[in-house]
Amino acid sequence: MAERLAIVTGASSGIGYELARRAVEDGYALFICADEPDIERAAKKLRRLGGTVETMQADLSSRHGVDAFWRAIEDRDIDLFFANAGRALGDAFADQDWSDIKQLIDLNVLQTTSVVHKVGLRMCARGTGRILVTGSIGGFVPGPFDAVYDATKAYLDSLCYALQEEWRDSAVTITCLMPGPAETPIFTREENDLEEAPITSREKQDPAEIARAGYDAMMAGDPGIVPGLPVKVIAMLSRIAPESLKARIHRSGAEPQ
Amino acid sequence: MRKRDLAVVTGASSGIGFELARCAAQDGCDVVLVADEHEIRTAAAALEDGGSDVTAIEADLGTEHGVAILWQEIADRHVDYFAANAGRGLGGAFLDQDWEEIEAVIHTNVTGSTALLHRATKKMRDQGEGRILITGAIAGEVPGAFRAVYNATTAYLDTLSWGIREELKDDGVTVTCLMPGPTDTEFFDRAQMDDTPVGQDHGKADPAKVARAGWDAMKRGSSGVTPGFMNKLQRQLTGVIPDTVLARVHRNLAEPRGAGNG
Repeated sequence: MAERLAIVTGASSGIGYELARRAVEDGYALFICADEPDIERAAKKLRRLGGTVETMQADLSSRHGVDAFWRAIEDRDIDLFFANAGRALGDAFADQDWSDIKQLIDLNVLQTTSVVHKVGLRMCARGTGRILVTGSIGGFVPGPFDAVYDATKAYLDSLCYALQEEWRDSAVTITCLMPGPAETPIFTREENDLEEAPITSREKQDPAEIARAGYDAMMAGDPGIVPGLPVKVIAMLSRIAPESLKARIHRSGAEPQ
Repeated sequence: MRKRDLAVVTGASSGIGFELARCAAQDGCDVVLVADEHEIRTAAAALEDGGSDVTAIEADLGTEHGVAILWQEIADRHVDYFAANAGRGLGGAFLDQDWEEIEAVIHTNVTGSTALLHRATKKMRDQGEGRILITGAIAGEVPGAFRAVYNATTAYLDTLSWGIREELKDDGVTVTCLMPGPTDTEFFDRAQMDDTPVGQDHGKADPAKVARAGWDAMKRGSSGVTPGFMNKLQRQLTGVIPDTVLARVHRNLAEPRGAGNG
């Protein structure tokens, strides 16, 4: 029997790497992708856990990168797909560069939608498969000083819940992982411009724990998962508190000092 | 004599956008109307009698080129009001939609709107004043089975509007989010949603009333407005009902008749 295949985008570090680790521990062959050479280092560590790991370095914010990605995957059956690649962007909207904003939208919204569309078609044709999308709690706590990032995550959260319902009668599932701030390079990658945001220096969640919760939710076919109790409380409150209040709370964590 | 205020309204050839442009003209503003279709000239002509200086621009704001065309027109002018209203709907099951159609929705609603808002917020911050109105939708609060991408784009716009409003609060610039429910415009026809329960519903809101509520909320500098009692009720309920239930309700409204078992 052919090995079951799991594909993880944005797998060089952080939550993506930990998701890949969960899949390999579960016996899946891996195809992992990221936009940086560190993907090879991640692969080396994952191979030590005993799995088959194929890597690809591609920038999924570009159509060119996405095309190359699909050429590499060819028509292999995909059992698990982790649409995890994403970037952040701090600072005030009016102070951000348009090229950074554009790349953020292209990666988080446009190309994530494109891969979910393509994977969804293939999984539904085959009658089986599971998708996990890394959204964010930022999707329901509106965000000054990373406003576009939070908006892209609101998009992903909304899309996931809608597709869960559309695919209700299919064996294909889609789960939305909505972590709070996690201890990952997202806060320190230079292009994300978050080094000076207060949240960067605060205590954050362990990406391994987030990935474990996300992986388990995906395998259970749950619609969404907010890992960790404190975040869950924020999530509940955020559905009731007025947006203006939520935005003010967010300002205190994200405004550059 | 004081110069008249200038209002820019995108997606102004019909529906809520046209009515917003009419509000601007009624309030004595000069108006720049933009849309991706020739009808924008007819729309502009209809507003010309009131003494306002009315400019029609035909441009596809889902493209960088279209955004540049609009900006060329207004770059050197003081913009008092900017209504980012242009948007596309798209009904049907996600996997039945063509990627090109999905891409067009994202380009217009997300990329294009963000590009315009980015320029508008910078411009108004430099001016030290200005009011922005973003047409999001109540749909942004409800995951949209059988209109998934569209609803997700409005979730994006609603969220973006709250975020940048807070950022700009000390700069004299306000951002207001207009979140209409189903409105009696060409939206459902264009989104290929004529054959859905919501598309055929006769109780949809009057776009003139929706626009007036949005326009007035923007002038007051309110954070957001959901015109109509039913929409307010729905918005309150979305805070307490789980997303899975909301998505199910959305299926009942948006699933094409004769499809699935909804």
